[in-house]
Amino acid sequence: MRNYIIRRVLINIPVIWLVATMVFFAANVLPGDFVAQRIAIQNPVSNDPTQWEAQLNAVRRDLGLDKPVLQRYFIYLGDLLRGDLGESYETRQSSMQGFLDGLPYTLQLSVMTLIVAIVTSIPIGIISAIRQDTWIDYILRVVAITALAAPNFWVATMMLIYVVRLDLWTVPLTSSPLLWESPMESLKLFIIPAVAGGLATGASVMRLLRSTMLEVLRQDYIRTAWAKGLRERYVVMRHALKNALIPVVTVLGLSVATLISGNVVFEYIFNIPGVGNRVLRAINARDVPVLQSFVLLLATSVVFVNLAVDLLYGVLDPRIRYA
Amino acid sequence: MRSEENYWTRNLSSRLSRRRFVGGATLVTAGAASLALVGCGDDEEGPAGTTPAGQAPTASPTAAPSPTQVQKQKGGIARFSSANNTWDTFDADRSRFTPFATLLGYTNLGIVHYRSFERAELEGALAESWEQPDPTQITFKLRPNVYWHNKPPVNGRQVTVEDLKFFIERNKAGKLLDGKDDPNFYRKTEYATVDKVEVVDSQTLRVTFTKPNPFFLTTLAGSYAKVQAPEAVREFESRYNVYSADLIIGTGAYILTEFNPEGSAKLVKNDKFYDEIYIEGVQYFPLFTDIAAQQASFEQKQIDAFSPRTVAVLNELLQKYKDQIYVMRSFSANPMGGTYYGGAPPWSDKRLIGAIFKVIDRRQMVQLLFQGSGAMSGNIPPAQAAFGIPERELVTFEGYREDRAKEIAEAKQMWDAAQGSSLGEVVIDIPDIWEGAYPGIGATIAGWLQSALGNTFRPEIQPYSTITSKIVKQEYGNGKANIWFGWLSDVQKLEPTVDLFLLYNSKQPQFQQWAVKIDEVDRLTEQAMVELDVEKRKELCKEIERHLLRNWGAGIPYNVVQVLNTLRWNYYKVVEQPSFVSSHNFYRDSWFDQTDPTWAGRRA
Amino acid sequence: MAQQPIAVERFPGEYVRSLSDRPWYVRAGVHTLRFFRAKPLGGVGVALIVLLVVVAVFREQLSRYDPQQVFQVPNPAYDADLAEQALDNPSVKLLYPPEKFEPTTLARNLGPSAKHWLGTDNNGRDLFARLVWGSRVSLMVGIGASALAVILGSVFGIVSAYFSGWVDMLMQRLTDALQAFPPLILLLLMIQVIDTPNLTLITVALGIVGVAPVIRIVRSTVLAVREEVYVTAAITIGASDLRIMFRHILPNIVAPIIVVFTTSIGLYILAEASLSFLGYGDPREISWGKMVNEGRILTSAAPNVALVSGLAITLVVLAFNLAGDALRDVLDPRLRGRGGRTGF
Repeated sequence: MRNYIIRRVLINIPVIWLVATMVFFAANVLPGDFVAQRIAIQNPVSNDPTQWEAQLNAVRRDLGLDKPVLQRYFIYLGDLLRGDLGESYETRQSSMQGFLDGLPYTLQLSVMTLIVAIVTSIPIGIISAIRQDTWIDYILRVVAITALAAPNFWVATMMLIYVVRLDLWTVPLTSSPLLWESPMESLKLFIIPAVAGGLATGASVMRLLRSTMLEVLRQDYIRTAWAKGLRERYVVMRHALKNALIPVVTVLGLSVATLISGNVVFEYIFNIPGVGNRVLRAINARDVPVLQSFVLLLATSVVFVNLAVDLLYGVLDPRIRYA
Repeated sequence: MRSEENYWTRNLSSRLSRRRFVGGATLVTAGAASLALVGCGDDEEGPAGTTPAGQAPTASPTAAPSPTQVQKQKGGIARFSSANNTWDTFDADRSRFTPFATLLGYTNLGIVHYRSFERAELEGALAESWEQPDPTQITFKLRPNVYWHNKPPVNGRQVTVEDLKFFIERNKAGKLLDGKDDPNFYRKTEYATVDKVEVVDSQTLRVTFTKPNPFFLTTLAGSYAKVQAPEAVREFESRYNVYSADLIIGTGAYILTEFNPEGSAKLVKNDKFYDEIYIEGVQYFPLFTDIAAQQASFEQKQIDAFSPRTVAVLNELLQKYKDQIYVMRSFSANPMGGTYYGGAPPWSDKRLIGAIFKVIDRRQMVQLLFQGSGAMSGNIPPAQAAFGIPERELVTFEGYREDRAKEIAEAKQMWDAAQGSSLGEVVIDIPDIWEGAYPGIGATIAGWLQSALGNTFRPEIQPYSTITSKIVKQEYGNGKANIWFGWLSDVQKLEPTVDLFLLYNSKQPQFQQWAVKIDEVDRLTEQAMVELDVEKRKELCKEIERHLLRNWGAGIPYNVVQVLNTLRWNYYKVVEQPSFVSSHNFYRDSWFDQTDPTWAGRRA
Repeated sequence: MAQQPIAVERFPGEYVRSLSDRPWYVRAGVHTLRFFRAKPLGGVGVALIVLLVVVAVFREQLSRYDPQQVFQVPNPAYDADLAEQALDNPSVKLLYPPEKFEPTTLARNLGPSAKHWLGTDNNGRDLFARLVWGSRVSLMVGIGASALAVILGSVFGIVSAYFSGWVDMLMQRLTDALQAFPPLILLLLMIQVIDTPNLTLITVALGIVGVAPVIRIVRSTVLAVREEVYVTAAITIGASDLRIMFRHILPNIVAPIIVVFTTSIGLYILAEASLSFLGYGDPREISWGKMVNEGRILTSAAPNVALVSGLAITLVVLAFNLAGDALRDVLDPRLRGRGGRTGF
């Protein structure tokens, strides 16, 4: 058992290094460096050619951008090993701090989305499975897939505008309150993207549940239950559902890892200062340290969650340990 | 000259300027009405508060009562959205980013400032008055009872004449305190003619010049020409690039209490300010990336002003909230155009660049980009209209004429005569944020050129850093068949004279970026730089513009300028909405009418 | 006497010719009909897809107008006096709405009419033409990216699972690293490497981002198939690796691959729309995602732009998903027949 754990952990170290390297080169290969972009945007035309380079270099030196790429790479790795994730070029704030600041918002949105997804998908999936190929099945599947198919940024914007226009409630767009700061206010903001995203996610969960349910319902032990004359609800809920949920829980467990990366589109539309929003800004502004560190942190958390899930399997299912 | 009622037609915008990408609007601080040109004709039309009868349901230009009917009231905290603001430094002398200039306007005073851009009226700020006995010296009298904000290391002491001296000398020297040159003292050349700065007594400062400088007062009234305390500069100079609220210590009407580089800021009223302040505080909300979110926020009265990106939304909002909101318009300070290098082929052949200049359909651009809410621009944009030729004359120049078919035919002739087809494929660089704000514009411009001139015109999206680099390195033209169009640098002054000199006079370094030498322009710009009479300078500038236009922009072809539409709720009264940074007038010229019915439902 | 096909006695007295004796086109036709009857939803999906393909292929003929053509209409709000004044005094333009100054204006945001079947957008261009034109982008990106992901994923998955050992280990770590990246970020980074994103780049980037899950699915399927008897037999008689991989393993995993291919097309179309929304689409092409974004900010004033393109995307993704679901139901023998109370 201990070997299994050690093996799994050791395997993931090169993965993290690989991610760090990939993100460094991706971030540094982007055209248009931060400094030049910053200066150019405000004043593209009236520049003194004799001073232009000096102006850029003065700032570049300040940010450490005057060194060649490979040297910066090793500095970057060295910093990483010491736990230093760098400072944002834009805000001069520690990237780690920026990440931790944004994390609660993203987590809240992701968790709420997941709850909506689960709550909607399970009943619909069950009904659709036990009434396969009937009108109910067709309607539910079409509705579910429509929720999945509609472009989420459009749906979210429409919901926001109609909530405001119909004066349903006041959406606190300027303050982005968190759930534990002011629950009602927070719900008023987060519920819209949670529903918009949750229905879409719920649709794919629903389809998965439906297909696993269909499989399970053809198993022998279910046939035995029918033969015994048990009521439908009993058969479905007691016997079928538990087994049908296993793959679903697996998939949901895997998607827990993506809870942290969250939904960039919704954070953008609803002005939620979460991790995704910040990464988007960092990409646009070529804020390389933020980009590097956030992606690294996100990827690392995915890796660790997957590792935890693997370990859990190893605990639960002895066969896998020896694979 | 103007009646009281017409103050109402202008307002003051205090939104932080932002220019950005990806779905974000590209708004700049609101624009100026033209300068002193609006005269009696205006009054006859009675635009203020009246709806011309029987018109389409777009609301009247201003729907709120004139300020003489409502007393100014104190109270309330103003709330605005800011998005994607970028900051270079918190050192006023070394900054040139407009969001920072807006912030400075609230918190710091200059020696003088513009009381009204529209009337081009200067007023003493830190200086109570000034005298100019002869063209080579100015004497300023310090305003008594002005105090620095109570933040360390200045700690609320009174302003002294030495503070002003330090400010002028630092800008003139362009050096850091340790003596090192710093290329980021952008306005150093404007102080070059300063010879001596003397403290005559504790209330008086005398500045003498090596030669007459007609522009020194406008320099001191500039958006970045705000005085910082010497001990603050000494303490903070090395860390002005770590943006925090305690670095901004000024003498202005508002004190910056909180600041976050993402764009959130809190300003509270300065109780020791020498004048009356109406609005108690200002708050900026961060990260407003999406225009739909801004609109929803405005409709819920969470922010007090909003500039819709399209006219359709503007009209719909005006109709839905009829009699509750009003619109103010101003010319944007960000003209759109392009640049090319004229010192070498291909663009040294004026027929080639002239053909391109003529084919660009500026009227159509106004329609496509702004849905009509804009205007064509010559080399002196409408924000500086007092110094430029009026549109009546502009439309007589090639490139601006109404008969498009004729222009295109002539352009084709010029192009063929110069063997334009041998250029092959012409690349048009388009800034990514310009394309992001106006999707399809690159393809549209390329389409015009291609169908008129025949060559393949290919739009390429580039970040501004690449474009600016290419401009500086003379790479638009100069052996390659390429050019770019997008936003040009913003205008920051009422008067274009100095910029015309710096850009188009062949002895100036900036001229090297286009190198289109026109002897007349050289002569006129030099003459304008020493002309003391404003009216004569206006005529000179107009003459310069005519030469530039005849030479296809002389390296900088201008296209169009947007008219910004800003919506405000009725309770939010303002006086002027200039094109330039005017946050220094915010304390005096904006207030909340708490008796107005629209005030209900707004979170106090 | 001519050779009679063998007759199968299905019910007493009723003789039916076996389907396996019929020519291939009849068999195909019958299978298709059965598919449509058994899975009507899938049938609807397939029909919509066929419609989409026809529209995309024949977009020049089907769109009434040039999608970039800008229509002008006369402007009743034009005030010639004000326009005159504005020529001398630009600030007049600041006091009145822009409609007063234009003799003709663009045909903006018109509703559906005989001239413009779906109305016009904010720049006076015909919406129907733009919709038809954009169909090709969505289709190409969706199918192209999905195909790329599936092909790459299959190859890597088969190779990785078949060879095991350190090849497998290495490939799995690479896949882990790729999958750990937040997909949107990976996409944006790849696209920004070139300044002007074009469709090919976007398609390739999308395909690469979506490769990792395919590798996983394929790998796990191959791991199962690898243990089958016929594979062991092939190894025993000395068949080459390549032959085994493509002759024995591949046909048995085709079914899940096809299902993944069809169902993920919808996801790629949505991803392309999201990219356009964030501003990273191909600026030269008209894509539905771009249209939705342009119309989105106008929703309060002119909802038809976003509505039309949003519905188009929804319908297309819906079609691919329905078709894919039906295909999976058909191809996966475990899911045939009826479950639930009615039977086995």
